[in-house]
Amino acid sequence: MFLVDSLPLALLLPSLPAHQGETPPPPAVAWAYLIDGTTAEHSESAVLDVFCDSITRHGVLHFPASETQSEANSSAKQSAYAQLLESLCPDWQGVVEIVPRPGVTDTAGTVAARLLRTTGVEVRTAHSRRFWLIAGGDWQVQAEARAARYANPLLHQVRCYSAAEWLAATCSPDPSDTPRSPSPSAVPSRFVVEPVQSSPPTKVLSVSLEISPADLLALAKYGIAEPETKTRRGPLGLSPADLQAIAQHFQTLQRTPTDVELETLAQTWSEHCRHRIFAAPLQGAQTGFGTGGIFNDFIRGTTEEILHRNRDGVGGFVVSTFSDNAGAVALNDSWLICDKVETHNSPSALDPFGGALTGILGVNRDCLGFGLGATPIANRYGFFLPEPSDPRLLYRDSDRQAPLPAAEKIVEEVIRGVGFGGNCSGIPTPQGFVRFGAAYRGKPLVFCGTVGLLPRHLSDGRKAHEKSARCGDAIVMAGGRVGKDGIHGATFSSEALSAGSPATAVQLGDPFTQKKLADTLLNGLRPAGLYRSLTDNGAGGLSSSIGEMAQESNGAEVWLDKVPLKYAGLAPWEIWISEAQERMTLAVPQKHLAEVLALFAAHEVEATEIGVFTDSGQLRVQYQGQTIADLSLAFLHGGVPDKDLKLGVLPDLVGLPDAASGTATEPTAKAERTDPTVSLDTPSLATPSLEELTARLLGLLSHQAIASYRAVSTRYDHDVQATVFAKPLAGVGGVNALVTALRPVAEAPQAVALTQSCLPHYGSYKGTIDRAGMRAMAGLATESAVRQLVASGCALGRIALQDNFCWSRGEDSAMLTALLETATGLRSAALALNAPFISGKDSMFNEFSGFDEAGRSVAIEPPPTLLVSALGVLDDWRGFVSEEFKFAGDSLFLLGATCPYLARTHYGGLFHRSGKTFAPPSLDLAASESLLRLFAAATAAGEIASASAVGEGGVAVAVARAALAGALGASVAFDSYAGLSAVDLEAVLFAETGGRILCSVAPEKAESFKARLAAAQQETHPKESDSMARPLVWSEIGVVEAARQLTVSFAGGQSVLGLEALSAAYFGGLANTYKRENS
Amino acid sequence: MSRFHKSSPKVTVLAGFGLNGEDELERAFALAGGAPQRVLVTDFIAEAEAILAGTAIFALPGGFSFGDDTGGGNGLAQLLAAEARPALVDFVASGGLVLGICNGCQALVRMGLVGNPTAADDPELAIVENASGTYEARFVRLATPAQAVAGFWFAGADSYHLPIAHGEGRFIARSPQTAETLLASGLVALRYSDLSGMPAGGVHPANPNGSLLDIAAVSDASGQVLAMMPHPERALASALRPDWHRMAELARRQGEEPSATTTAGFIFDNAIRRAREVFSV
Repeated sequence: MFLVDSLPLALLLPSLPAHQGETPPPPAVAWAYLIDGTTAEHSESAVLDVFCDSITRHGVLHFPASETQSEANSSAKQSAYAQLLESLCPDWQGVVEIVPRPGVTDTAGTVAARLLRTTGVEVRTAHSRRFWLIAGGDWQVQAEARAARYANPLLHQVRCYSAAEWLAATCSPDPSDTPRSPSPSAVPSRFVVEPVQSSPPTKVLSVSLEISPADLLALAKYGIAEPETKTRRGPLGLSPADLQAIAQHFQTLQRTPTDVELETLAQTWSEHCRHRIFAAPLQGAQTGFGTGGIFNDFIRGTTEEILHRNRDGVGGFVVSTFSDNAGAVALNDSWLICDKVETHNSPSALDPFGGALTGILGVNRDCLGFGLGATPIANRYGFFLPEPSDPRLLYRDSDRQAPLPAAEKIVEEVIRGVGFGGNCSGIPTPQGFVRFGAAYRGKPLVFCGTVGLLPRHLSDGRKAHEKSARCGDAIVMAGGRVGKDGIHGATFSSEALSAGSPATAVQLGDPFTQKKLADTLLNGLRPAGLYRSLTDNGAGGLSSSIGEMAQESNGAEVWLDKVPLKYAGLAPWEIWISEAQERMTLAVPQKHLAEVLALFAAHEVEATEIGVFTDSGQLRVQYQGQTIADLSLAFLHGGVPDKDLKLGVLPDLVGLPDAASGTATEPTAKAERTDPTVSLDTPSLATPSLEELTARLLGLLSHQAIASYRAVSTRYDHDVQATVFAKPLAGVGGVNALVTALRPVAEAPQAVALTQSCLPHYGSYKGTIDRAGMRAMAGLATESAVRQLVASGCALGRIALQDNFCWSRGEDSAMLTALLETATGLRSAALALNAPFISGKDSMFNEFSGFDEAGRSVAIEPPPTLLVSALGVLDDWRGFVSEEFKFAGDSLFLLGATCPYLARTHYGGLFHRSGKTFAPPSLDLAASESLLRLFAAATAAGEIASASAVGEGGVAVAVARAALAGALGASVAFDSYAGLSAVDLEAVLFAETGGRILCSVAPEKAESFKARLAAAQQETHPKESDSMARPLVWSEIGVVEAARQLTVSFAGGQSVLGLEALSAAYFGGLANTYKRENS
Repeated sequence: MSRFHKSSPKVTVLAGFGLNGEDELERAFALAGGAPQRVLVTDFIAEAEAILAGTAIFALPGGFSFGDDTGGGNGLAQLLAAEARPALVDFVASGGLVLGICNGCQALVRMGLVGNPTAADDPELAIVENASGTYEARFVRLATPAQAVAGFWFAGADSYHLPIAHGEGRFIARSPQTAETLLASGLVALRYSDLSGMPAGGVHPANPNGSLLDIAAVSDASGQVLAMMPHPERALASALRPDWHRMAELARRQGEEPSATTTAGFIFDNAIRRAREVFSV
């Protein structure tokens, strides 16, 4: 056994040019590799050369004294080591070392082992560790700060050493060492690698369900008890009704279930895998179109209605919905595009980096596992994070032994995790957003999405979006090995975050392994048509992936002892449900098996035949010659009882929107008083002056929801693959674009445009969630996502949507009513705009219940949140319209009417200006549809120079953004604005009414555009019988100018803001939030 | 094996093991008239000599080989150095061209095949983490020093506007003397520059990573081996530049078709041209 300390130095050359803003060099970081292997003495330098270049990386080898070295040789090594450390960090006083806990993914160790083999070393294992050398008398304080920043107690042990302790621990054998060490007398304590704790004997348990109700509850909540120790294995997450259904099933079979069977059912029936709340018929639901549950009636039902109606040929555009790992649409006659967005909130709450990383890698695998495999071509992200300055220290347990990560660490690590995953995988990440709020201190919301490309047909003629395993096909597991990582992830994320949440639910992703897996699939196996089906091993691991695929052939038999393990000591149930990452399961015809295994081997990807698909109707698991699970597929997938859920009551702060149009009814005095616990901000009698209003624009531009997050965009590679032509930063000014676009196939003219909309702040007023708010949140998110795409050149009928719900207390009756209202809003907007939902996901338990520093209980929950992700296909990429102003002299138009509701806008929140109503921003879907159809025709005719959907922050922010992006000024006047009766400048500038577009038009195109608008205004009759066309409202509000300033004129007055001031507000707004990235 | 196929020089592009820019790199060489062939890293080292015998240009794309573990490009460099160094040296001696981009650049530097005035096996340069401590993906301005021995790669334009995407792109040298020698001997192939083409002077954002002497690319003494951190293969089409939408609108107003290509393509055109000159004899 020997050790390499390879020590990267940040700065060696004193002649380096002074660097602007350079901070003093941080404590020197070093890597240690603990290598268990054998080598000839003469190849020592070859070993060091693997890690060191003697310019920036230096190292030494340590051999345990008694094994290979003489005393003299050993002491020479020690002094060389001490000298090296001194040169690296003069006057070092101490060391903090971060040691991965046993079994935690260690990619650096794996790579080190692979590289050492090229030098002829016979490596058995290699482990990596990081340590920091710290100078200064306060080294212990610094060490703690390092540990807090880089270590997660769930994943790492932190060890601090004084300089003397370190040298002793590193260089001399420790006689007091525990007998865990392989050769205790020879190995210094620091070199000992702790083994993973073995599970209790690999015996399969038979678990009786004929037990007391209290025991049943404990079984569901804390899991199966080990017979000897009585410790519980972790949550099953099954309800008493579920366990009763299981008990009945096994009664008819006249046997008791095994632990493996119970775990399988728990995974398959989990909220995470089965979405049972969305599937449940809601009692008391007056939906008017059936009682089959939210998903059936409002989401899939809406999509089916839209596809059946087939306006604008949308039926031919949409190819696959709700039946696979992603939804898919047509790019052209040869190619399909799939899209999927997931959340990874609970894992990100425990380990922000690992959770976010596995979030993006997991949704990449959804893409790889769609149909017969799609190539990931773009990643999306959306983060709701705590404010980094949030000082609260929170714990999952009352003893305060299980802390949540600090707020600033969550912010930094979530952002880093998604970037690392995408960058390492060679997938551009153009589209995303970041928001902050105190409500995300318990659980952040981490949305990760992936867009994929696949041919319509494989070379053997099969449709690439369909797949089916056949009886006799080999079950092949490919990718990483199985460990204890991610056990009970699926069942855990189906519950609130608390002390009982299992730490094993945390996984660290390995993008390197996954990239090799993807390369083998997409460049080797798919083109040759070597498999019949595949899916991702995500939640529930093998139990879930094989359980799902078994439905295709109607049966499967698994040989669990063939599954390759990371280390010994896993119980069969652990192997079966482990969520160890980077694995896919394939159905391979026997005739291709050898070739498949050889292709994986060539890429150094481990692949193993672990069973066979059958047609027995059973999912059968064998282990060491014994059948340990034998479940009927009919029961596994069809036996789950409906949840018994009841709707509750939500306040009505205002009238509900008109069901047909989505327009909010005019607020009435009665409506305003419905909830006496909520009061409006006192409307100030004086309307703010023009100067005051324009100055407030600066405040709004630095608002967390509006200010630039450029620091994130530039950390995410968006140029790889050379496809993204509408980039995350729009124009020379680099404003965060609402819409990004790429050209997936170099030879084809079609483009894919991406956008997102998420407006949880409309759902409540001063913390009170109401029905109208829920509808508005959903209606406006759906409508604005579609409108953003149409503004950039897409047409209705070529847009597909995804819904991601993040709820809290998912079975609470009032929250279910909120869900129903949200679904209603979503359905109306999707129907009106002919935009079907093709996939989605829900995460129903995002509340945190824990303890503060004083041990008092704390509950934090994010507001109900719906993210709408939209994807549009443009027939010609050159038809894309970007947001930034293009040239001085262009005319500015504001299309669509404004409604003066400010209560729930960012402006209203920031300046306590609620106006006269609680109402959320209004939305007239019929008017929006008319406008979007007109606008799509105008962009197709090439009349539009720039366009953006007016949304958060209102018209003022839209104009400022387009000006900043184009590095051009603008002059706007609202005296003759037609969009609001009795013009109220405050409302015109800052209301967030739906259905509005800001655009600029070249002078030579202005006449034809105005003629188009005027013609549309005359059209009072619906074009089609089922269309609800409204007269169009529009105004020419100003002109783009070369002078770098924004001029607002109103009622004879004029106010001027320089572009520099706007820029300082917009780019400086979150500067402090992102400042730590550079430290 | 011929290095040609109907006058299209063969370009061997490495792939696999975490590399990820091979698609666009192959496209770039194909557009320039080359005949790219993709080879898995392990297949390459298994028979490097035979593969290079039929190759005119050997290209290492960007990416994250070995997940950047043990250092960016280190893993790839170790594999190539252990199995294919003599074959690569012979290949260059016979007139072959080598292009490493980003991760490929890191590997060539780590192997000491570029930026090494003494031509020993030990590297004189290293690439470390960006001075900012963060990964950055954006366009930068670049200029070729007049004395660059690798100048032929950039013939046709003095300056370039290309994207970078890296967290470890900061060149440092073994000693201050090394740095001076590099410039004097013309081994610095590209420098980060300001809008006027003057070196960035180490100042962010023009110099994105704090690189010594604003170095963005280095070559070997023959100029045939070029290692560059920026990504020309990602900027071939005008539409992929950040100012595209305004350019396109301007062209529309003038009744013209906007220019479809950029100077980034010169790098591949020049390489193919050189390969034809060298190997057609």
